[in-house]
Amino acid sequence: MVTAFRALAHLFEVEFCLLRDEKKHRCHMFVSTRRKTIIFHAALIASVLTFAAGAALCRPASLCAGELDLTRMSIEELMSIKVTSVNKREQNLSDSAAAVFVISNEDLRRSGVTNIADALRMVPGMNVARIDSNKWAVNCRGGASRFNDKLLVLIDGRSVYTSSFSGVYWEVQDVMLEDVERIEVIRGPGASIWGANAVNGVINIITKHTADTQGGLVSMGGGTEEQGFVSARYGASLKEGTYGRLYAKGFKRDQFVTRTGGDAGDDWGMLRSGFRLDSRTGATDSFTVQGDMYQGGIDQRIDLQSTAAPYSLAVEDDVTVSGGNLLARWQKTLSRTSEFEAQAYYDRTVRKETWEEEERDSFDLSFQHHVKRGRHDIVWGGRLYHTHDDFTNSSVLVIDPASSSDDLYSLFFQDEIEISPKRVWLTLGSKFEHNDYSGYEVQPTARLLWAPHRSHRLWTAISRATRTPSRVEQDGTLLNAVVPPVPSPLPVAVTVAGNPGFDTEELTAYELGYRYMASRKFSADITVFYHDYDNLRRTYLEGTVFRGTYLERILRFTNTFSARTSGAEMSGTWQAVEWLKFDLAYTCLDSDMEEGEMVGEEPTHTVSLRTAVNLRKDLDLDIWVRYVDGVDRIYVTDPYPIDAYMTLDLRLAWRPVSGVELAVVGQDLLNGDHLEFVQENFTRPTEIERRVYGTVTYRF
Amino acid sequence: MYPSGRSLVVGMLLLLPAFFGAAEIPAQSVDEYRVKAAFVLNFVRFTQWPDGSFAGTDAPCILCVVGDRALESAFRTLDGEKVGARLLHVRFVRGTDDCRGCNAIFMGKDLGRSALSDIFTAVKDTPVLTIGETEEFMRRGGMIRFFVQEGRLRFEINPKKAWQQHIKLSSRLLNLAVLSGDR
Repeated sequence: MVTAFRALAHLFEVEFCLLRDEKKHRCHMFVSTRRKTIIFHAALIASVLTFAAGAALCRPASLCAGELDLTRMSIEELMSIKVTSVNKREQNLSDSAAAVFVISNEDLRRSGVTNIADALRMVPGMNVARIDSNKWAVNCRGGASRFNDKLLVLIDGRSVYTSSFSGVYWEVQDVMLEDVERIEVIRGPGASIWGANAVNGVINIITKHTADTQGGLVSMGGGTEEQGFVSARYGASLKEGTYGRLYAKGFKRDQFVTRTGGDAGDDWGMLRSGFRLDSRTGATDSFTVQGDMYQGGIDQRIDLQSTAAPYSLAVEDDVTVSGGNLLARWQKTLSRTSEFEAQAYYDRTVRKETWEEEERDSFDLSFQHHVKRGRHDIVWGGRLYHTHDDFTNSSVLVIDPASSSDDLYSLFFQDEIEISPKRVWLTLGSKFEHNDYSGYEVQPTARLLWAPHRSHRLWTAISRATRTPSRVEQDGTLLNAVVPPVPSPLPVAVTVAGNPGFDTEELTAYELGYRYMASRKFSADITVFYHDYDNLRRTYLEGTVFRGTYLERILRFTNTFSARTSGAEMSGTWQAVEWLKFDLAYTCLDSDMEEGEMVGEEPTHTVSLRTAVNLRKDLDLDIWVRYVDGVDRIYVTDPYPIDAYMTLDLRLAWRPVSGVELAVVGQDLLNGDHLEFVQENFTRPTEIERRVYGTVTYRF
Repeated sequence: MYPSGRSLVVGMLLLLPAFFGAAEIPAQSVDEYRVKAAFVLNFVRFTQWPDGSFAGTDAPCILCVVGDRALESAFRTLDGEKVGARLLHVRFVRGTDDCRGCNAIFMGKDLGRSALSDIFTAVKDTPVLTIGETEEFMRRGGMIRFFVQEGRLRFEINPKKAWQQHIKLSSRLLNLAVLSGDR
């Protein structure tokens, strides 16, 4: 048994470097991990034994047998049970005047995805492209970039976008997918209620209430690219009305391949753990406290530019990332028609790459009041966000000042007015924001929903959204490329320089949508939109400066670009027969954003078709076919064509006994190695490989 | 290459499940009426009826359930359960004629205005605990009403109505309810 655990421990490399020599790219001081390894093994054995003991100990015998004896439960316990009613409809979604798509826990399980970014591929309007083993470019309604700055992503109410570049580092956003309640994707400006940056869309990742994650769950597996992964969670009730859970997960992912077939050097591994506590004190108050911590090592092979020979240096970069967060939320039911919520969180992220090094601490305090009065359904609230960063400058990226604190205050208000009872609703709302960069911003929205018949919904919306400038856009100088001294006598360094006067980007969006939900067997949703962008970022040639040994061409950021995107997003669900279900998502997009030369092209057509087959009560088969059009991305300064591709994911799952599920998942099976995206600079084009993994999930 | 976040991960795993107690809450959703039936059993246990409500100390506490077939299987399981020193007896009422002799009545949401009106007239000025599901039920004088919030069951109590019929509801019950009506 000890050797088995030893093998498991070796999934997570045991080398650990304390003092790295940046220039020579080697390690000065290795820490002996012998002692650490023994402690790790002992702890792992101990924890697995206690899990087994916990599973063996079964309080009330009736629960062990699988029977649910509700009559033995107290009122507090009964109040924590999730109920389903026969005629339940997703009222919230069908009556929303917005382009909403929900990924359920079941969708996540059956799709076989191992991370949040890949799960978003089933959503109409989302364009997800994997750059390499550890990077993704997730965009919505235009603007193809890894550093996409127009999407707000929240995990349990905590914003995960970074003010460094107003985007999301997807590789460090992770949750236990088994414990995700749902992922709501709202395309289009969600500025009114949500936060800053909700320009093209909002992605809201909601984890399950602790009352729904009682007991243990252990999931382990491995495969060709997913070399090994383990997730474990244990939830329990501490006293009546209070529930908690702890989880820990880790994985190691292999490298993909370069265009010439060699290794891409992009393997990585992460460890994460966290907890959540929910408590209900009486009928009216509930509290939630949750937190996570993570640490990881990400490899990448990048081309760094330098103003001295040899001008371009291939670097094997060992990136270290770590972070943590703590969130507390208080919800109070003031009356049957009024609720109040207050939330506070702290988030820390640390990232060290060869060309970029930053530490960021953020604090957020927000409150929200929801009240229904007659025909009005009003939500209003406020938010205070403070973020502090510390950058360490490198030869490639200089941020000046290297350390800065930024504050954001906002107030929002939204009123949904039932103009005609159960027929027409008009929603008017606005957010008033003040940020340190551009001062005051107003983001209004007007939405109309018409329900001509029980099964039909028609909605339309006009909204304005703004995108706050990032640190790099205001204070950064990035060495983008160096042209070697042939034919010119001196090398020419092309730098992209920040502009302290960089303004907010603006969007005015016009949307129209229709929803059809006749029965549980068939539903369809279609949205058409037209986005009018202004003040978009682009660069202009400020001038060329002689720097002694090289010339510097300075491209400064400015807000003089305008663009339009328009398109249609369609989704449909058809439960053909009891054991066969189809989910289709189609996106059609026409965008001229790439003309600003800041981002690449977005694919015109994207299709996703999921087929869920229930072969037997204990056997599932899922077939997921996707098609993405070919595009021209940007690589350094030139367009880089990426071919259209069609791909297939297959998942076969078997539940031999209650509580155990075995699954085999094949991903990207149709193509050999294919490119999905090329990052604008530094990372070399990397091809995504065909991969397979197997997993065992045990619930107890 | 990988810093040892391992120790903190393992540290968290070590927090023993054995320390925690109490019943397990199911991960999947449970049928609404099974849970409501369990709630009603609790309501009855936390209620005190005025003297004379029961034939004797051994007399059963009678719960009348008015509504469609869906309620039957859920409430049937309550029959024979203990309510203090008494036993609970569940009676299914089709029309409104059998509403006499009930100590508590559960009115399903499918009951129309006239049906509700008839029941309330039949139990007027008698100490009967009334439990329902609709706003109409509350408006006509109901005491406890179920509603769903965030997928979970909550209940609303109108304490004045209970007081008027000399029904005493335990403070534990009142603390967990959303109180409505004028005090």
